[in-house]
Amino acid sequence: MQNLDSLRPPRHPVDPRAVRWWTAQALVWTVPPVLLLAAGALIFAPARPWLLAALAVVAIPSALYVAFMPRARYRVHRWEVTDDAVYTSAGWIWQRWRVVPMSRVQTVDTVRGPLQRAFGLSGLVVTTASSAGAVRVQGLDHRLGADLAEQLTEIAHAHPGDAT
Amino acid sequence: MTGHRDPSVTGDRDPSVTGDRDPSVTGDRDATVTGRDAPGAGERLDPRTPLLGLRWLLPPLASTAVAMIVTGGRPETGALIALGITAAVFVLLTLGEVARWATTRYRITRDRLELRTGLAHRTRTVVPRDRVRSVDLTASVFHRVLGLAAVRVGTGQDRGADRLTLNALPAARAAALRAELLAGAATSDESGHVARFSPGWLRYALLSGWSVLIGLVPFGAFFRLLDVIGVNPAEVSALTALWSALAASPLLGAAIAVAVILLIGELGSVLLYAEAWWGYRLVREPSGSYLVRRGLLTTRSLTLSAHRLRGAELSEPLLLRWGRGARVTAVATGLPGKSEDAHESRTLLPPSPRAEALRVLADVLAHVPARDGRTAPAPGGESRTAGAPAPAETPRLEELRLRAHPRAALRRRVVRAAVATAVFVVPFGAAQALFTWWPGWAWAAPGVFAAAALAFAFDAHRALGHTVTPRFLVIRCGTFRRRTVALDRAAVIGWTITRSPFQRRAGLATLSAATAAGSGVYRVRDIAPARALALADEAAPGTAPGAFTPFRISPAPGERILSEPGHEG
Repeated sequence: MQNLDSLRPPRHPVDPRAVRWWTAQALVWTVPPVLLLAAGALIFAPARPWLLAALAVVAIPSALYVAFMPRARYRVHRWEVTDDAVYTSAGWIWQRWRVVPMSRVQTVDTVRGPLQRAFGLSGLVVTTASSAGAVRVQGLDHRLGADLAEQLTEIAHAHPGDAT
Repeated sequence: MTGHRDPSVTGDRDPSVTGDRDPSVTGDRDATVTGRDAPGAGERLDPRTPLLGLRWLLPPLASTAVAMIVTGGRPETGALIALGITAAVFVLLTLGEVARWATTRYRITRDRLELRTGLAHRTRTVVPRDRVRSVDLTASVFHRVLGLAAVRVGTGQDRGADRLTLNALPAARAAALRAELLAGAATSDESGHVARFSPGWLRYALLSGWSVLIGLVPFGAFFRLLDVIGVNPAEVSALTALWSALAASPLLGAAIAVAVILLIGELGSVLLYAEAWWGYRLVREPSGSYLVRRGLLTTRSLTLSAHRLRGAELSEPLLLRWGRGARVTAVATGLPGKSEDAHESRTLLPPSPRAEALRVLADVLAHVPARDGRTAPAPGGESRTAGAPAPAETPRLEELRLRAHPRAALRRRVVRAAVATAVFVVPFGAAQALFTWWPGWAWAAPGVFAAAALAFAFDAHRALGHTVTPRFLVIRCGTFRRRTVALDRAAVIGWTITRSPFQRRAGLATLSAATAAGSGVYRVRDIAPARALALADEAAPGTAPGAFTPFRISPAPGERILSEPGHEG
């Protein structure tokens, strides 16, 4: 993983099942348009060359996305919780590393979409007082996610401060 | 799966009420209040309040009058029907206003402010007095004619319905209420006066970037009006004559049109500026809060509690910068997002001479209350005296030496300028190929564009800069709108380093400081990754370790070693 010179990645990778979840998610988005175009090419003979061209334009990047995105994402999505801070890295194209001190944590929630639930995963959402958005860790084992949320809430509770 | 919410972490951001879990504003919509309240439970609004409804009459009356004039006093049936409907709506609105007045009561007790309103749908709003952070008075022209003012009580919370409005009270009563609710509010204007309007500032209104748009408004309104009263523009002989005259010599016509639009736009800008900022005064009250009074027709008096102040920003849009002017806005919490309201109450100084802006900025920064990030400030705006004493620092922005960003950042901007130029040139080339009449000298346009883009690229790089003072993180960026923000280091609540694919190739990174105040995040764009880490360390408040420090493999030379990475979560 390309990294900043002296910054080490967060300790923990997300759950390996996240790769399958991201693949499924990518398929949900990419398969319907491909199928539609293919069906169109089968049915409407006169427009076939155009539809096939469109199919190629859509299908090739889609296939690459499905093939490479989940693994790339798995490599960069990492997290770590210490007594003092939450540290995450994410983003397979636009990389980002975030640190939120524990004293600034406002709420800790877990979120689970239907697809994520099917894979036994959950996401952790750590909000702060900033409107710039919450820190998210997606693709954790759902039991670990729940424990982590509880633990984080406790640690954050132990830190005094008004979190702004 | 349910979320995990710990009340003590979730709820009170405001430490002034420890242990009190009462939300700042309780809107009990029909929940607890049933039946009629005892008469006389609290004070009424001013009985003249329903008269404010008269303002709804003005637009229909005006449009009717115009229609009468245009049609020569022979109104069509359609116009009469419209008038009838207007009258009916007005009667309904007025009845509604009367009902609102009759059913509204407010009460101030020792520890809370209470408002009950609504005829069928009773609403009771309670604001604990120790949560009151701002009391803003607004008086429109109609209010002022009637001697009234609207009072808006805010609690400084980010939540949506976080305030209580009393519309309207007698002006004197409104001012008294403000003084009563805000302990330590200025009793006279002269205490702690920071800045005052000077009519010469109106010239900075001319440098508003919005002038062209403002100039177009009357034309749009004019044609809209013609449409409303059912006149086809093509049938107005004066207009067609004007049009053919302009079409006869397109260049001259275009020049005249542009000149007229600009003239109207600049006039409009000056009028809007005067309406908003005439009589402006910035006062720092004994409590440390800032009070902005302003307005020509509609007068406003807005409070910014010292509690919410986390820094300030100098903003210099291109034209204003060329005219050596600047604006000052507060970086404050609890002024949510991008709403008109928030924008209004954030502006501490309107476009004015740059020297004045720097002076006001320094004054505000010197009075940002000290907060060490872990201990809560004391209630009632006394944090400046109660907390740790603020470091004796009055940062003069013009004296700070900002650290420039690497050459690679300049290269990125030059590349962007080149791309923009290419996008501009392509249609030119196409036009050249397609139209035989396309004049050769038109190629001057892409040339000028390229030169300007390059100049802006260099200017944008010159604008980039950052530094850390004992109390503030100072970031400057932007060429079309240069912003220099000084953010209290203790107000940073999270750090992010981001790298786009282009930044990775150029060996750059962006460091973002998240905060509860202002725009929520302030970015130091395009610096070396090692510098981003070092900056996050330097900007940590006081002697606290840098956010990324525990997660570094080995400390850089000269860095302090603070702790081993904490145990796993």
